[in-house]
Amino acid sequence: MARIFKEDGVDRTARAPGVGDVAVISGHRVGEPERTGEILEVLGEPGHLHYRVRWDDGHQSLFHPGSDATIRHSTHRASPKAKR
Amino acid sequence: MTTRTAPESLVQQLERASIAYELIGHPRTTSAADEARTLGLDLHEVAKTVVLVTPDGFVRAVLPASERVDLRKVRTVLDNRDVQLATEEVLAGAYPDFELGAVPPLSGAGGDRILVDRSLCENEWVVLEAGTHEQSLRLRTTDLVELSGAQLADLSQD
Repeated sequence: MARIFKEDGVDRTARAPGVGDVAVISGHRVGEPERTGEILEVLGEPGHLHYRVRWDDGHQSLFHPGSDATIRHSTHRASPKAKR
Repeated sequence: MTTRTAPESLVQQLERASIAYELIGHPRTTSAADEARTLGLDLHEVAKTVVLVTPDGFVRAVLPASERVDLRKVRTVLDNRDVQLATEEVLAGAYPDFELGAVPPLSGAGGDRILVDRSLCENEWVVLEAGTHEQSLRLRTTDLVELSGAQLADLSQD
């Protein structure tokens, strides 16, 4: 089972999000599916991290997570290529 | 050729708000409809911002890419008959941080009144020009309304 890392720092014992992990945005409305995407690149500084993400629908974007976003660690995470 | 990205003032406002958002790069587009096609989105998922001039200042009206602003409705909402579309010269002077025709409903000159077409709230997320014709901003519609202090109204032509 994947661990969930809260970007807002709730789980500070978890390792930082990295390439290959999965960004998860939960739906705010009943029936709204969560959106997930693979992290391709980690950008920014600790506390202001953002990510280049390939979403399930195929599009890529620079994703800046809010307080409701979570990172699901991949069990087969790619080798780190994060830019810091 | 360098891709123009969202202005720092816009990014800072989004960062301060601690909301989830995406910046989506794409080939240069010159209309919201073109932007929707380029991103593979339906027209109702993409919004355009129309800048209006009133005696009380600028008003930014946000409506789906598929719709046209109804100035009569806007005049009713604002309770002011003197509402006109901003000219390119006015836009260039008032919003130097943004490319012409890519003014977002956030950031820029403070004090603008923001109106959001109610139909946009049918979608959880909305995509907008991020102040440039080469990058789009995606955020929750509720966050857009809250962050911009927008008033919801029916702004589209019937």
